[in-house]
Amino acid sequence: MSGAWKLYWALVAGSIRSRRQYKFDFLFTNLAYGIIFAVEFVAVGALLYRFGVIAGWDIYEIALLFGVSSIAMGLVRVFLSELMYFERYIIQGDFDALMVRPWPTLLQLVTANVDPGRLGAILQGGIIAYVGVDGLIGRGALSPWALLYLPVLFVVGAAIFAAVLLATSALAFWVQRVDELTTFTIHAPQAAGTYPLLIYPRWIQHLLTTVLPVAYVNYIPVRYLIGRGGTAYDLATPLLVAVAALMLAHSVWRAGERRYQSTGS
Amino acid sequence: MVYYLLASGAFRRHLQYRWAHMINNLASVGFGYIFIAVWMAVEPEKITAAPGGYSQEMLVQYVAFNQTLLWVAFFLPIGLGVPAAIRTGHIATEMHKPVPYFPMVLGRESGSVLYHLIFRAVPMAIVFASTTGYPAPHNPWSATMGVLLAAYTALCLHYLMGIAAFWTKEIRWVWWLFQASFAINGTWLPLDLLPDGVREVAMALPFAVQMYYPATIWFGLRGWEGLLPGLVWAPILTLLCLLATSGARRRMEVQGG
Repeated sequence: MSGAWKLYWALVAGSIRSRRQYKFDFLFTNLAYGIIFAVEFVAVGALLYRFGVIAGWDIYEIALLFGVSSIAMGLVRVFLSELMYFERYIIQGDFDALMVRPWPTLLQLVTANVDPGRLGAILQGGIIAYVGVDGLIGRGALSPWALLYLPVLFVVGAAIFAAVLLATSALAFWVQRVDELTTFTIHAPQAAGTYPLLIYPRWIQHLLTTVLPVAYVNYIPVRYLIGRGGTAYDLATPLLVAVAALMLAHSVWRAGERRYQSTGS
Repeated sequence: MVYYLLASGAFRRHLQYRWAHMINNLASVGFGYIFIAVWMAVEPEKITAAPGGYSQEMLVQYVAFNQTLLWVAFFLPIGLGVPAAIRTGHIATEMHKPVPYFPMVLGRESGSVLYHLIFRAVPMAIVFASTTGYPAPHNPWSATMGVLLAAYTALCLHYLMGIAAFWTKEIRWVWWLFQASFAINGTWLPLDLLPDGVREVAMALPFAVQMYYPATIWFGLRGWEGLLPGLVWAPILTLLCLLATSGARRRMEVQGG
């Protein structure tokens, strides 16, 4: 197992080194990602600036939701970018090249394109989350102890997104074209998750807490942290959801891989 | 005649993937529903009291309208196919055709715009009309002009992004910056509701011509004067595109393309 870890870090370092060659690109990509996500919040921020609250949640609370979701998604974009456009591996047959090597295909995929350029998204998400946290602690709605929990939540949230991404990509073994599907399973739910869940119809709330459990990335735990409901268990359930989701997604992936091999491509 | 052929070629190429696009339309409608849910969560009286003269029902339909308009005036093929042509080298032959390059690309991509209108905007409008409601234009003539200007602005902006590939290898980040404009072009937040200072800047940018002005004309909040920003930006953008094209042509000849 530790051999796999050493290998992982070696591959990641290699990926980062190869990208550092393009210094100008690195800087600009970071900046661009930072800007695009920062400007995304301008619209929401303007809305909250003018109207005060969305379903009772004010700008700091929404900023925290937004920031947590951005950071979790940013982590996925940095480490799992190759999975986001996985269909070409199946359609162009590049997956075969992964299969002949003595390492797990997933390990190869998650190290192929580690893109520190996308750190910009994490940075920007961090700034917005900080604004939210600062405002909330300032008026006593958030305990400073929450600052210990939040980094855990970023990683757990990233794990939940990663699980959904993995399961969606695994479908490529059956239906080949899945890149468009990520809009439905990742991008739309993530966008929806940046607002409090209660603004959506019941069936969407159910969807986002079961099949696509992105509500556990930010809404459920944050709701408890800021005292808007839920119980202390809500801080633990995201971890359970992440583990369960990853296990499920991984078994879907393995099933798909077996099927791919057996059709003799 | 040439331009008609170019446009219909592009149209027919898109047509092959119409079923994939139909599925994608659902996702686009879904995003619209997210913004609609946000507006429904804001108190109606506050909306009516805010500048711009909007009501909650209007904003729901505003979002619906803009989601469809996005496909005509925002989401066009990346760089209008110019970076792809540069990568394959076809750019050399394309630039030496007897038709000037910029109008040629415009002609071809008008086919894309028309395809998006029929196979993306219209189906989405039907879905919205049967669920949340879709607005009828206040004045069909000025509304159509508004949409045409929006499409033209989008074509020019996309062309500029595409031709930038002559100077920089990675146009991805140019594309991301463009996507950032999404937040300040009035897609789901009418620009009147932006804070002072930001509002004036946003309304002066060409991005507002893509979404905000055609939408306000459609709703009758602006009359023919709503076309002015678009009519001012059109020649400016056209000039920029032509300058960029001749710059690109020189660069290509220097590199021996």
